[in-house]
Amino acid sequence: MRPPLPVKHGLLGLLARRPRYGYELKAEFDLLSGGFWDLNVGQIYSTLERLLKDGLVTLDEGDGAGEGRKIYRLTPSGQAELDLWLAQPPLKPRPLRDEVYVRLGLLVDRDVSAAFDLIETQRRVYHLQMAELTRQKLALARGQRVADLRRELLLDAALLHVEADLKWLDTCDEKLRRVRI
Amino acid sequence: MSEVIAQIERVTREFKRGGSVVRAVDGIDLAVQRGEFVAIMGKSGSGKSTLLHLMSGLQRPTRGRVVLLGHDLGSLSDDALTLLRRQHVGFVFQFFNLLPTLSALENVALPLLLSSVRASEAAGRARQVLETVGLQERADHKPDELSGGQMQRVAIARALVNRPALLFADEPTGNLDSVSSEEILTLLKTTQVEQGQTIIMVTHDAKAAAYGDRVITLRDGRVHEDLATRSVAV
Repeated sequence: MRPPLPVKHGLLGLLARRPRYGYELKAEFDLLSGGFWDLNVGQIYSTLERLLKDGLVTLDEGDGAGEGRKIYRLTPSGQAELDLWLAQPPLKPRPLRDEVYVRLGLLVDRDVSAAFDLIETQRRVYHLQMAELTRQKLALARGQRVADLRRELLLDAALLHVEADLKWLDTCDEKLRRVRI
Repeated sequence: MSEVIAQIERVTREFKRGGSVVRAVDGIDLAVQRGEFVAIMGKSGSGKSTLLHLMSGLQRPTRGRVVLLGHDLGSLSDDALTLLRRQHVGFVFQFFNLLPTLSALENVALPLLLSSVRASEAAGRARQVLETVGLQERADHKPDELSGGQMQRVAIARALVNRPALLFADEPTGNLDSVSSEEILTLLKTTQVEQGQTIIMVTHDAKAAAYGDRVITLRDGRVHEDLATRSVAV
């Protein structure tokens, strides 16, 4: 199981700034998470349902008709839950769950030349991904809006993680070569 | 239209170390197009700096041919080669290589003065280039009054002041913190995108290489991988 995405608290945080329509929350949430999570509208609304049931938000009928015109508002207990979550102790390091670790681990004693091939192809994927993330970073307007800064910080995180994976492949490559001799 | 600006053919470079011969670059073929930003990666000892020195005419190959801006470097005298480099090639190094007794402006103007440009014109052009690297307010500062990132920006301005056809950068971010590194790489990328500057950069840092359109990985003096990274959707 992957750790659950902090959708609930992300939504509480957005509503703490000001009340919002349901349809606004999806777009705002994508900005907050830098677009790295592929969250659908259904997930947003099902989380809002739960927040309503738990009394963390309330729902005002807006001026228009339909589900999208209802305004969600944070309740005092919602604010308390958000404050508690933001003040939580530090998070555990990210678990290593990438499929490539398992594949490489299996290939090491099964077919070492396939392991080297995997390292090569995976390395290309990482280089291309880093180039793409760098292009996205260059496309940001620097220091203009808080949304751009947030996005830039997330791109930095993504780049540094790919860099770590790339360095790990280099280490694998070198160690496998030594064992082979 | 693509145009090859630098080309090497079956280039080998050997060094004597102790009693034995070390082959730093081993029969490499490579062509760089005008306007490209090429990143050359590899571990230390992979031959990447030697390759840069060979392509830029700072060193001559043991075997093979180097063609720079249409000139076969093997047919040029040392003086002619120096002149070609001075007029058409810019260099940026890891340790900036600024002259400590000169101001930022004077450091940038120096290549122009060496090419016999009048002092007033040299100062004017140097000031202009300092402005493009965002350092107009530091023009009168000496290198030891500047941060590492600022010194490297002065070095880039000095490398660009002659409007070189080719810019070579050898670990330009190797001595900088991560935020200054980003500023330097963004500056290099901007000169490529906005002025069509051709750049060949050696780096051991994959994050720096990701600014290139092409990432070449060397291993044991040979091209291990030549990867085009331009506009590939991931």
